[in-house]
Amino acid sequence: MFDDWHDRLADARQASGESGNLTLVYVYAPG
Amino acid sequence: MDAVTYPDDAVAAELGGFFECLKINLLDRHPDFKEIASAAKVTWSPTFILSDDRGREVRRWTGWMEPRSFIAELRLARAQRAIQSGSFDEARSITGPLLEDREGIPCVPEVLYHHGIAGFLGGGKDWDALRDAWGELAATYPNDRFGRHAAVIEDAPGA
Repeated sequence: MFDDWHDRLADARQASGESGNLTLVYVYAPG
Repeated sequence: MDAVTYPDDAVAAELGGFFECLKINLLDRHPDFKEIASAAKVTWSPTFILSDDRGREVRRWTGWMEPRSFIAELRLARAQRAIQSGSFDEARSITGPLLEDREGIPCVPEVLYHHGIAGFLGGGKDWDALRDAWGELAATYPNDRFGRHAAVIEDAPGA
């Protein structure tokens, strides 16, 4: 499902400004 | 999260419908991690940070959640943003259904807390709305942090 996720914070915030949606940042450590 | 919560259809629908999502590997030196970490002081994972398009943080938490609790946290964040924006009816339209189907959701006390705030502010200092929500909160969750906050409702006007 991560195909639709943004790669950069700036892109997510720009999309947030256009859609009115909140930005969700998921910080993870693999393994 | 990747094994259980994110693959859940209801989680995917909530994220896809109401959020712009960014995934950052804590160990990967992602170009944006410095900004995220400095703003939110990320020290553990998984950490979830919800913010508006200007980067103003609305809500965050650390730790894994199963789908039902995760969706509730996301919806509570939407309600908090609506309250911050003065959209009190919208906030109640989110918190109300959450409270009607609350079984097993850890953030219910906080939902009740904000449900009362949205009712109070949306109704032009509607003490009855605040008393309904906070009275239930203080009585049902007396040892919860938000239950304790709400205990002041006993001293509210008209009590």
